[in-house]
Amino acid sequence: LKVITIAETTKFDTVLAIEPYGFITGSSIAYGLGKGFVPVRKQGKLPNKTITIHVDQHDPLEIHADAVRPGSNVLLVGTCDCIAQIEAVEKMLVERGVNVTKRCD
Amino acid sequence: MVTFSSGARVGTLRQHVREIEDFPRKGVWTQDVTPLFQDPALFQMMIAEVADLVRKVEFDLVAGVESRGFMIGPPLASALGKGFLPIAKVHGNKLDTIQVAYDYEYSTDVLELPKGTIDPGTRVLVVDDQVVTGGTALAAASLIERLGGNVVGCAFILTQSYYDGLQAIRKYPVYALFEKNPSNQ
Repeated sequence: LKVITIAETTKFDTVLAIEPYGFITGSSIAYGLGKGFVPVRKQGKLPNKTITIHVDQHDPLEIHADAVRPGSNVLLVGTCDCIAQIEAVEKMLVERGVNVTKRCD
Repeated sequence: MVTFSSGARVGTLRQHVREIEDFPRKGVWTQDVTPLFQDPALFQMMIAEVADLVRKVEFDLVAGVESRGFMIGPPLASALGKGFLPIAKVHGNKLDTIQVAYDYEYSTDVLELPKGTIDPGTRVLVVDDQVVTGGTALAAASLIERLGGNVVGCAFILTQSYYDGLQAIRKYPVYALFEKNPSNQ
């Protein structure tokens, strides 16, 4: 409920969610609010050209390169067991000019 | 038996599935459905078409397997007013679970469900983005059945006939929006 409340009052076009449990909340939020959904996955899972996200002391993550659009507004969704991953993804997005309007974790 | 969608917008969805050469290994071409999730209009359209396809099926829960089943399952459950049952890979949780090993297109893995997750007789629709080997859906169905659930069918965005995945799950009714085989086969 907290997540949905945050999502409803925040401006964003796309939900980025971290594998695996972020997908459950992320896809529901994106569908319910009519936004796009982009998965952030473990290395080697996404088939198209990717950007690799290095996470301190954890396995790296990947996101499809065409899903990272400078100037876009994203809602970043993860779970409380992946704070390091959320921070790493947020840093990568900010470096590439993406507005991370809110994190839910 | 496979029931394909006759929805008018299915052609648009099929067009946006992206074929990627040599993934996950050389010589294998994969169907990438992520564009259908990334675009808000396509995402709504895709969920609406799958929901229409299974609307007459009587069931209680949508089950999705980690990880792509976690992308399509929750919105489909939401569209149909059903619950969502996540079937996860083994992460070493402390619950008492039943497990099943399975093969899929990347490698082998183990899925698990905590005992008592579903009531006996619960009717479950298994969903995933696509049928390749059929191993994932079959493993999910076997866990559900071992806990006393009834698997009423399996629903997908797309099927492929090249890997015999449909043969593997032939005991269940299969619902899919369309077929899309690798164009190198």
